[in-house]
This record gives sequence, C-alpha cells and structure tokens, in this order.
Amino acid sequence: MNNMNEIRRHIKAVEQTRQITNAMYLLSTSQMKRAISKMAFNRTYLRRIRATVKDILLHTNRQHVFLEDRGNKRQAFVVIGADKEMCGSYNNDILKAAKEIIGKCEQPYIMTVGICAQTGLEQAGFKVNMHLYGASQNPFVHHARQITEHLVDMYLENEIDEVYVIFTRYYSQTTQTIRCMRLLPLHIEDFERINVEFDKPRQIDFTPSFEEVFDTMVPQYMIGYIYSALNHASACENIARMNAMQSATKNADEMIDKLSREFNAARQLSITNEITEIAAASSLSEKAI
Amino acid sequence: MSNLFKLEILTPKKEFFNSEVEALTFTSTDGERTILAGHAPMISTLGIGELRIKKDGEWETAFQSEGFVEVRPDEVLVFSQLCEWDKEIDLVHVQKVKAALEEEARSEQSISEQRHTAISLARTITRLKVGSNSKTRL
Repeated sequence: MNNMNEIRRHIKAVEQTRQITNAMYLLSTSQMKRAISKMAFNRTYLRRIRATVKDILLHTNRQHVFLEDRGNKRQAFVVIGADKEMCGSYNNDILKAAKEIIGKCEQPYIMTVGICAQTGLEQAGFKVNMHLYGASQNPFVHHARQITEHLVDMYLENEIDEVYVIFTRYYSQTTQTIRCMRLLPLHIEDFERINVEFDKPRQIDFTPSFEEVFDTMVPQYMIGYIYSALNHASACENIARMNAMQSATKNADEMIDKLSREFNAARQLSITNEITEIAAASSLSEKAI
Repeated sequence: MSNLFKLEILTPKKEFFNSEVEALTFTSTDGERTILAGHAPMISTLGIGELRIKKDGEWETAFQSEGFVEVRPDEVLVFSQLCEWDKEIDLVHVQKVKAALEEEARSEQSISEQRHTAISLARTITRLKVGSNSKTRL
C-alpha cells in the first residue's frame, strides 16, 4: 500500500515537471520564430551595409582613427550569452570559446550580454567590466546602440585598441557556429567574403568631410552588426532551449510510462494479496464451523 | 535621360522604402541636401531630422535618425537607424517618451548617460515636430 502511494506521488511530480518543460518548449518555439523573422530583414540591412563599407574601404586610402592599427593590443570583447539556463549546451559552448579567445589576451576588457555569460566568465576568473541584462531574450536596436556608444567612447579615448564580438551565428535549425568578429578597427580582410555590389573604380565625394562621414558611418555599421549578432544569438538560444525542453518532455513521458506500469503492478499485487487473505480467512472460518 | 532614380532606404529592422523617385531631401549633419537623378557619386552623413521623397509629383515626409547615404551611379542607398512616416508617428506616445526623458535629464547622471539622454531627447523632439507638421497639413 505504501509503495503505491509513493509511486502515485512520483507520477504526480513528474507530470508537473512535464507541464513546465512542455510550456517552455512551446514558448521557446514561438520566440525562435520571432527571432528568425526579425533576422530576415536585418540580414539584408547587414549585407548591404557591409558591402557599402567594403566599397568605401576599397576606394579610399586615407587615414582615420577607426582604420588605424594601434600597435599595443588592448582588446575589448562583447560576449553574448543567455539570461536563463535550461538551454542545453548553448551557454557552455559560448563560454568555452570565449575563455579560449580571451585567455590569450593580456588586458582584456570584457562586456557581457546575459547573466549566464557574466557569471560563467567570473567563475573562470575573468573580470567582467560591464554587463547588460535583458538584451538576449528580445533584442532591440537601442541595446545595440548602448553597447556601441560605450565601446566607441572607450576606443576614442584610447582605452582599448580593438573590439571583438563573440556570438553564436545562426545558419539553420541544425547548424549554428560560434563566431568571433572584429569590429574595430575596420580592416579590409574582415570583409573578404562580402561581394561588392558596384565594382567600378570611381571618385567618391565625401560630404561634409571624410572625417565626419567616417565618424557617423562606423558606429552605424557597428550598431547594425551588434544588433544582428544579438538577433542571431537569441535565435540560437531559443533553438537550444527548444531542443533541450523537447527531450526533457520526452524523458518525462517515458518516466510516466514506466512509473504507471510499476503502479499497475503494485496495485495488482495488493489486490492479489487481499484476495489471498480473504480466501485464507474464509477457508479458516469454514473449518471453524 | 529619365529624371527618376532608384532609392532604397534600409533600417536594421526593415526595408523602409524601395522605389523609383524624382528627388530625395535629407538632413545631413551640416544641413539639408537634395539629390536628383544623375548626381555624382557621394557619401554623406545623416543626422536626426526630416527626410522627404518626391514620388509621382508628390512629396512624402518621414522622420529619419542617424545614418549615412551612399549615392552610386546606379542607385541611392540610405542607411538609417530608424525611419518612420510622418503619418505613422504616435504623437501621444512620443509625448510620453519626451516627458520621461526630460525627467531623466534632470536626475543625476554620468557624462555618457547625459549624452545618451540628450541624443534621445533630440530624437523625440524631432519626431514630435515631424509628426505634428503632418497633422496640421491635413
């Protein structure tokens, strides 16, 4: 009898967990769809802005603060992780890659997006200089603007020499890879895979001036890139969570199956026991008469 | 030679505009500029301000945020952080945002925060101006 109660309680607990995992699965599915639909527009923007920047870089040989290679390397990293756990190996993967890259630098400046990225890096002994919450689940342009403004300020005040962003790039439902991309200074090598849309040598006029154009254009490009990185990361996070929750729900189903079989066996056993007891008692009472 | 040219306006969120137009007026960091067909290749900056497009003889107005413009021989590309048609600006909402930002500007802030608020405030004020101009014209 005791055994039956125990099993019943266990089934109830598993059912409740299953409800939670199933709800999280449905939620992450819809969030993933939203992130992917946002990405569709963003991809065009990013492709075109990168093509334009490449085009400009190809046609100018002038100097600007955003283009120069400063000798001593003080790198800044933007690591994009998740705010929440329960998404399989997503956070671990990005942290592993980030630790490997950042570990090589002497004076890294670390900026994290998402609580998991922050705590993970702090546990590994890195100093996180700045963190941003809330941007990983549903990124907005103003999140990207906030990050960019901060980094550009630091770059212009000569506190950092290079800016990298580490995030998970979305290709399809099944393929996502971790990318580390240099944003500052601009180098033509970083644009190798981009096709220039209009490839004819020509003279380009810069108005009001070359400096002013670069002063506005480069932060714009960074905002576009960081916004798209945030979107990619959020899509990947939700895919990882979706898969994790799907297998958790499946496991819970299997467990409930197994437990209800055990429960039935226990119930049958108790019924058999009762019948045996009654039969034995009645044969005893018959004998007594 | 036709007096039309191809204009594309892109923002990180969506493709805002893509069509053949007669003229484009935008606010650069040093004032307004107008581009007609056959303009020489140029790259210019976009400030916070008003953007006007002349299409089929009619001018259409929109709010523009920071970005840049590339004039190519074949087309004109505008990259802006945010674009919004004047008719679509929600004045009540923008008023609220403006009040909140003014409140923020009065509170104690670091220098970078101060600048951030100032930029946001400039943006809301321009949005309000562009939006209310459209209402009075109707």
